[in-house]
Amino acid sequence: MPTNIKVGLSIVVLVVGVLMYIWEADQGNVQLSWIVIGLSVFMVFAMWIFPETGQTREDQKEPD
Amino acid sequence: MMADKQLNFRQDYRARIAGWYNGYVHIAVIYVIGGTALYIYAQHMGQVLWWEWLTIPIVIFLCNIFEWFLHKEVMHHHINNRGLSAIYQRHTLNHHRFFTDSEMRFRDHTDWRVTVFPPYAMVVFILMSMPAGLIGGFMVSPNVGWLIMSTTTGMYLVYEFMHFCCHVDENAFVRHCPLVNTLRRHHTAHHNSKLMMEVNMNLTFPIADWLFGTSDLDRGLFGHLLNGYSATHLKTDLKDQPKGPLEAAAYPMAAE
Repeated sequence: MPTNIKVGLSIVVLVVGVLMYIWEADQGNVQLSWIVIGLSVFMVFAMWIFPETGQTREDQKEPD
Repeated sequence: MMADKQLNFRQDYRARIAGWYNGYVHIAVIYVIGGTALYIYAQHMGQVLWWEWLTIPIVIFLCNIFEWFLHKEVMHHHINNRGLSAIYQRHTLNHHRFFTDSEMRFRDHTDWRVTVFPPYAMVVFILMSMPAGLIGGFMVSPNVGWLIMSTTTGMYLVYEFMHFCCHVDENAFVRHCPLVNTLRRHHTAHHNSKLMMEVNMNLTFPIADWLFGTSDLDRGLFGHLLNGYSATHLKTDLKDQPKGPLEAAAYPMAAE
Protein backbone atom coordinates (compact mmCIF):
# COMPACT_ATOMS: atom_id res chain seq x y z
CA MET A 1 0.00 0.00 0.00
CA PRO A 2 1.37 3.46 -0.89
CA THR A 3 2.86 5.18 2.16
CA ASN A 4 0.82 8.38 1.82
CA ILE A 5 -2.41 6.37 1.88
CA LYS A 6 -1.18 4.44 4.89
CA VAL A 7 -0.37 7.70 6.70
CA GLY A 8 -3.83 9.11 5.94
CA LEU A 9 -5.52 5.89 7.03
CA SER A 10 -3.53 5.80 10.26
CA ILE A 11 -4.61 9.36 11.08
CA VAL A 12 -8.26 8.50 10.41
CA VAL A 13 -8.05 5.39 12.61
CA LEU A 14 -6.47 7.31 15.48
CA VAL A 15 -8.98 10.18 15.22
CA VAL A 16 -11.93 7.74 15.20
CA GLY A 17 -10.30 5.85 18.10
CA VAL A 18 -9.95 9.03 20.18
CA LEU A 19 -13.55 10.07 19.43
CA MET A 20 -14.80 6.61 20.41
CA TYR A 21 -12.63 6.72 23.55
CA ILE A 22 -14.17 10.05 24.58
CA TRP A 23 -17.69 8.77 23.84
CA GLU A 24 -17.19 5.55 25.79
CA ALA A 25 -15.59 7.36 28.74
CA ASP A 26 -18.43 9.89 28.71
CA GLN A 27 -20.88 7.01 29.03
CA GLY A 28 -18.99 5.63 32.01
CA ASN A 29 -17.55 2.67 30.05
CA VAL A 30 -14.02 3.20 31.34
CA GLN A 31 -12.76 -0.32 30.64
CA LEU A 32 -14.28 -0.33 27.17
CA SER A 33 -12.81 3.08 26.38
CA TRP A 34 -9.32 1.67 26.97
CA ILE A 35 -10.07 -1.35 24.82
CA VAL A 36 -11.17 1.02 22.03
CA ILE A 37 -8.01 3.09 22.20
CA GLY A 38 -5.89 -0.08 22.45
CA LEU A 39 -7.59 -1.50 19.35
CA SER A 40 -6.97 1.71 17.39
CA VAL A 41 -3.28 1.72 18.26
CA PHE A 42 -3.02 -1.99 17.45
CA MET A 43 -4.69 -1.43 14.07
CA VAL A 44 -2.17 1.25 13.16
CA PHE A 45 0.73 -0.86 14.45
CA ALA A 46 -0.48 -3.88 12.43
CA MET A 47 -0.75 -1.80 9.25
CA TRP A 48 2.82 -0.53 9.56
CA ILE A 49 4.61 -3.70 10.60
CA PHE A 50 2.91 -5.84 7.96
CA PRO A 51 5.63 -6.63 5.41
CA GLU A 52 5.02 -5.41 1.87
CA THR A 53 6.32 -7.51 -1.02
CA GLY A 54 8.47 -5.53 -3.40
CA GLN A 55 7.21 -5.00 -6.95
CA THR A 56 8.89 -6.14 -10.11
CA ARG A 57 8.08 -5.54 -13.78
CA GLU A 58 6.74 -9.07 -13.84
CA ASP A 59 4.02 -7.92 -11.44
CA GLN A 60 2.64 -5.48 -13.96
CA LYS A 61 2.04 -8.16 -16.62
CA GLU A 62 -1.44 -9.50 -17.11
CA PRO A 63 -1.82 -13.24 -16.51
CA ASP A 64 -2.28 -15.34 -19.65
CA MET B 1 0.38 -30.28 -13.08
CA MET B 2 1.76 -26.83 -12.40
CA ALA B 3 3.21 -24.99 -15.42
CA ASP B 4 6.75 -23.61 -15.25
CA LYS B 5 5.37 -20.08 -15.47
CA GLN B 6 3.36 -20.53 -12.29
CA LEU B 7 6.22 -22.31 -10.58
CA ASN B 8 8.59 -19.44 -11.43
CA PHE B 9 6.13 -16.83 -10.25
CA ARG B 10 5.60 -18.65 -6.95
CA GLN B 11 9.34 -18.85 -6.37
CA ASP B 12 9.82 -15.19 -7.27
CA TYR B 13 6.95 -14.05 -5.03
CA ARG B 14 8.18 -16.11 -2.10
CA ALA B 15 11.63 -14.61 -2.48
CA ARG B 16 10.07 -11.17 -2.00
CA ILE B 17 8.25 -12.04 1.23
CA ALA B 18 10.15 -10.72 4.24
CA GLY B 19 11.95 -13.52 6.07
CA TRP B 20 10.19 -12.75 9.35
CA TYR B 21 6.70 -13.00 7.84
CA ASN B 22 4.63 -15.60 9.67
CA GLY B 23 1.24 -16.68 8.35
CA TYR B 24 -0.02 -17.73 11.78
CA VAL B 25 0.72 -14.28 13.19
CA HIS B 26 -0.90 -12.66 10.15
CA ILE B 27 -4.15 -14.56 10.67
CA ALA B 28 -4.00 -14.01 14.44
CA VAL B 29 -3.68 -10.24 13.90
CA ILE B 30 -6.72 -10.19 11.59
CA TYR B 31 -8.86 -12.23 13.99
CA VAL B 32 -7.69 -10.29 17.07
CA ILE B 33 -8.75 -7.03 15.39
CA GLY B 34 -12.06 -8.50 14.23
CA GLY B 35 -12.74 -10.32 17.51
CA THR B 36 -11.99 -7.25 19.62
CA ALA B 37 -14.23 -5.09 17.43
CA LEU B 38 -17.03 -7.67 17.77
CA TYR B 39 -16.56 -7.64 21.57
CA ILE B 40 -16.88 -3.85 21.64
CA TYR B 41 -20.05 -3.92 19.52
CA ALA B 42 -21.59 -6.66 21.69
CA GLN B 43 -21.10 -4.60 24.85
CA HIS B 44 -23.53 -2.03 23.47
CA MET B 45 -26.34 -4.40 22.54
CA GLY B 46 -29.12 -5.50 24.84
CA GLN B 47 -32.72 -6.67 24.71
CA VAL B 48 -32.63 -7.12 20.93
CA LEU B 49 -36.16 -7.18 19.51
CA TRP B 50 -37.18 -9.86 16.98
CA TRP B 51 -37.32 -7.42 14.09
CA GLU B 52 -33.90 -5.99 14.97
CA TRP B 53 -32.40 -9.46 14.37
CA LEU B 54 -33.56 -9.13 10.74
CA THR B 55 -30.65 -6.71 10.33
CA ILE B 56 -28.30 -9.71 10.14
CA PRO B 57 -29.72 -11.46 7.01
CA ILE B 58 -30.26 -8.11 5.29
CA VAL B 59 -26.66 -7.01 5.89
CA ILE B 60 -25.33 -10.46 4.92
CA PHE B 61 -27.17 -10.12 1.60
CA LEU B 62 -25.82 -6.59 1.01
CA CYS B 63 -22.29 -7.67 1.97
CA ASN B 64 -22.59 -10.53 -0.50
CA ILE B 65 -23.41 -8.10 -3.32
CA PHE B 66 -20.61 -5.77 -2.19
CA GLU B 67 -18.10 -8.63 -2.16
CA TRP B 68 -19.21 -9.67 -5.66
CA PHE B 69 -18.98 -6.09 -6.96
CA LEU B 70 -15.58 -5.44 -5.37
CA HIS B 71 -14.16 -8.67 -6.75
CA LYS B 72 -15.59 -8.17 -10.25
CA GLU B 73 -15.06 -4.45 -10.72
CA VAL B 74 -12.04 -3.58 -8.54
CA MET B 75 -9.99 -6.73 -7.98
CA HIS B 76 -10.26 -7.75 -11.65
CA HIS B 77 -10.23 -4.33 -13.33
CA HIS B 78 -7.37 -1.90 -13.35
CA ILE B 79 -8.63 1.48 -12.13
CA ASN B 80 -6.43 4.55 -12.37
CA ASN B 81 -6.25 5.17 -8.64
CA ARG B 82 -3.22 4.26 -6.51
CA GLY B 83 -5.19 2.59 -3.74
CA LEU B 84 -7.52 0.66 -6.01
CA SER B 85 -4.80 -0.33 -8.47
CA ALA B 86 -2.86 -1.80 -5.52
CA ILE B 87 -5.85 -4.06 -4.85
CA TYR B 88 -5.98 -5.06 -8.54
CA GLN B 89 -2.28 -5.79 -8.56
CA ARG B 90 -2.43 -7.85 -5.40
CA HIS B 91 -5.36 -9.90 -6.65
CA THR B 92 -5.24 -10.32 -10.45
CA LEU B 93 -1.51 -9.93 -10.98
CA ASN B 94 -0.31 -11.76 -7.89
CA HIS B 95 -2.99 -14.01 -6.37
CA HIS B 96 -4.20 -15.36 -9.74
CA ARG B 97 -0.70 -16.11 -10.94
CA PHE B 98 0.30 -17.70 -7.69
CA PHE B 99 -2.78 -19.95 -7.71
CA THR B 100 -4.21 -21.38 -10.92
CA ASP B 101 -6.66 -24.23 -11.29
CA SER B 102 -3.61 -26.45 -11.86
CA GLU B 103 -2.29 -25.73 -8.38
CA MET B 104 -4.57 -24.03 -5.86
CA ARG B 105 -2.80 -25.06 -2.69
CA PHE B 106 -0.58 -23.35 -0.15
CA ARG B 107 2.82 -24.96 0.22
CA ASP B 108 3.17 -23.68 3.78
CA HIS B 109 2.10 -20.78 6.01
CA THR B 110 4.27 -18.22 4.21
CA ASP B 111 2.00 -18.65 1.16
CA TRP B 112 -0.89 -17.27 3.23
CA ARG B 113 0.61 -13.84 2.53
CA VAL B 114 -0.83 -13.89 -1.00
CA THR B 115 -4.34 -14.88 0.10
CA VAL B 116 -5.21 -13.34 3.45
CA PHE B 117 -5.62 -9.59 3.07
CA PRO B 118 -3.19 -7.27 4.84
CA PRO B 119 -4.51 -5.74 8.12
CA TYR B 120 -5.34 -2.43 6.44
CA ALA B 121 -8.18 -4.10 4.50
CA MET B 122 -9.95 -5.09 7.70
CA VAL B 123 -9.42 -1.56 9.09
CA VAL B 124 -10.80 0.05 5.93
CA PHE B 125 -13.79 -2.28 5.94
CA ILE B 126 -14.65 -1.40 9.55
CA LEU B 127 -14.31 2.33 8.76
CA MET B 128 -16.49 1.94 5.66
CA SER B 129 -19.19 0.24 7.73
CA MET B 130 -19.34 3.03 10.29
CA PRO B 131 -21.55 5.47 8.33
CA ALA B 132 -24.12 2.69 7.78
CA GLY B 133 -23.87 1.72 11.46
CA LEU B 134 -24.35 5.33 12.56
CA ILE B 135 -27.31 5.86 10.22
CA GLY B 136 -28.94 2.60 11.36
CA GLY B 137 -28.22 3.45 15.00
CA PHE B 138 -29.73 6.92 14.87
CA MET B 139 -32.52 6.35 12.34
CA VAL B 140 -33.76 2.92 13.48
CA SER B 141 -32.38 1.84 16.86
CA PRO B 142 -28.99 1.54 18.59
CA ASN B 143 -29.20 -2.26 18.43
CA VAL B 144 -29.64 -2.10 14.65
CA GLY B 145 -26.56 0.12 14.36
CA TRP B 146 -24.41 -2.28 16.38
CA LEU B 147 -25.85 -5.28 14.52
CA ILE B 148 -24.86 -3.66 11.22
CA MET B 149 -21.31 -3.24 12.52
CA SER B 150 -21.23 -6.78 13.93
CA THR B 151 -22.48 -8.35 10.70
CA THR B 152 -20.10 -6.48 8.40
CA THR B 153 -17.09 -7.31 10.58
CA GLY B 154 -18.31 -10.90 10.96
CA MET B 155 -18.73 -11.25 7.20
CA TYR B 156 -15.20 -10.02 6.67
CA LEU B 157 -13.90 -12.78 8.95
CA VAL B 158 -16.12 -15.33 7.18
CA TYR B 159 -14.70 -14.14 3.85
CA GLU B 160 -11.13 -14.72 5.02
CA PHE B 161 -12.01 -18.15 6.41
CA MET B 162 -13.87 -19.30 3.29
CA HIS B 163 -11.17 -18.04 0.92
CA PHE B 164 -8.51 -19.70 3.04
CA CYS B 165 -10.41 -23.01 2.82
CA CYS B 166 -10.28 -22.76 -0.98
CA HIS B 167 -6.48 -22.88 -0.97
CA VAL B 168 -5.71 -25.60 1.57
CA ASP B 169 -4.97 -29.16 0.53
CA GLU B 170 -7.87 -31.61 0.24
CA ASN B 171 -9.15 -32.81 3.60
CA ALA B 172 -12.36 -34.23 5.06
CA PHE B 173 -13.57 -30.86 6.35
CA VAL B 174 -13.31 -28.89 3.10
CA ARG B 175 -14.59 -31.89 1.11
CA HIS B 176 -17.72 -32.49 3.20
CA CYS B 177 -18.63 -29.28 5.04
CA PRO B 178 -21.67 -27.75 3.28
CA LEU B 179 -21.10 -24.24 1.88
CA VAL B 180 -17.32 -24.66 2.28
CA ASN B 181 -17.20 -27.46 -0.32
CA THR B 182 -19.47 -25.41 -2.58
CA LEU B 183 -17.18 -22.40 -2.45
CA ARG B 184 -14.12 -24.56 -2.95
CA ARG B 185 -15.40 -25.84 -6.31
CA HIS B 186 -16.77 -22.39 -7.18
CA HIS B 187 -13.42 -20.73 -6.52
CA THR B 188 -11.30 -23.40 -8.20
CA ALA B 189 -13.33 -22.78 -11.37
CA HIS B 190 -12.76 -19.03 -10.94
CA HIS B 191 -9.00 -19.60 -10.99
CA ASN B 192 -9.21 -20.90 -14.55
CA SER B 193 -7.52 -18.07 -16.46
CA LYS B 194 -10.12 -18.18 -19.25
CA LEU B 195 -12.99 -17.84 -16.79
CA MET B 196 -11.63 -15.61 -14.05
CA MET B 197 -12.81 -12.30 -15.53
CA GLU B 198 -16.37 -13.50 -15.99
CA VAL B 199 -17.58 -16.13 -13.58
CA ASN B 200 -17.72 -17.02 -9.90
CA MET B 201 -17.01 -13.68 -8.26
CA ASN B 202 -18.42 -14.52 -4.82
CA LEU B 203 -15.95 -15.63 -2.18
CA THR B 204 -18.32 -16.59 0.61
CA PHE B 205 -21.68 -17.82 -0.65
CA PRO B 206 -22.54 -17.68 -4.37
CA ILE B 207 -25.73 -15.65 -3.90
CA ALA B 208 -24.86 -12.62 -6.03
CA ASP B 209 -23.36 -14.86 -8.73
CA TRP B 210 -26.69 -16.65 -8.92
CA LEU B 211 -28.63 -13.37 -8.81
CA PHE B 212 -26.60 -11.63 -11.55
CA GLY B 213 -26.01 -14.69 -13.72
CA THR B 214 -22.21 -14.75 -13.29
CA SER B 215 -22.05 -18.27 -11.93
CA ASP B 216 -20.70 -21.19 -13.96
CA LEU B 217 -23.72 -23.21 -12.79
CA ASP B 218 -27.18 -23.33 -14.21
CA ARG B 219 -29.39 -24.05 -11.22
CA GLY B 220 -31.45 -22.37 -8.48
CA LEU B 221 -30.28 -20.53 -5.39
CA PHE B 222 -30.39 -23.47 -2.96
CA GLY B 223 -28.78 -25.69 -5.55
CA HIS B 224 -26.02 -23.11 -5.87
CA LEU B 225 -25.48 -22.87 -2.12
CA LEU B 226 -25.39 -26.63 -1.56
CA ASN B 227 -23.80 -27.71 -4.85
CA GLY B 228 -20.63 -29.06 -3.21
CA TYR B 229 -18.14 -30.50 -5.71
CA SER B 230 -20.80 -31.48 -8.26
CA ALA B 231 -20.16 -30.57 -11.91
CA THR B 232 -23.56 -31.85 -13.05
CA HIS B 233 -25.11 -28.41 -13.52
CA LEU B 234 -22.24 -26.62 -15.27
CA LYS B 235 -23.33 -24.20 -17.99
CA THR B 236 -22.64 -25.46 -21.46
CA ASP B 237 -21.51 -22.15 -22.98
CA LEU B 238 -18.47 -21.51 -20.75
CA LYS B 239 -15.21 -20.44 -22.43
CA ASP B 240 -13.44 -23.40 -20.88
CA GLN B 241 -14.24 -26.51 -18.89
CA PRO B 242 -13.55 -25.65 -15.22
CA LYS B 243 -11.60 -28.08 -13.09
CA GLY B 244 -12.96 -29.30 -9.78
CA PRO B 245 -11.00 -29.27 -6.50
CA LEU B 246 -10.19 -32.99 -6.76
CA GLU B 247 -8.62 -32.51 -10.19
CA ALA B 248 -6.76 -29.41 -9.00
CA ALA B 249 -5.30 -31.39 -6.10
CA ALA B 250 -4.75 -34.61 -8.04
CA TYR B 251 -0.97 -34.35 -8.02
CA PRO B 252 1.18 -34.46 -4.92
CA MET B 253 2.34 -31.04 -3.83
CA ALA B 254 5.33 -30.20 -6.01
CA ALA B 255 8.69 -29.87 -4.33
CA GLU B 256 9.15 -26.18 -5.03
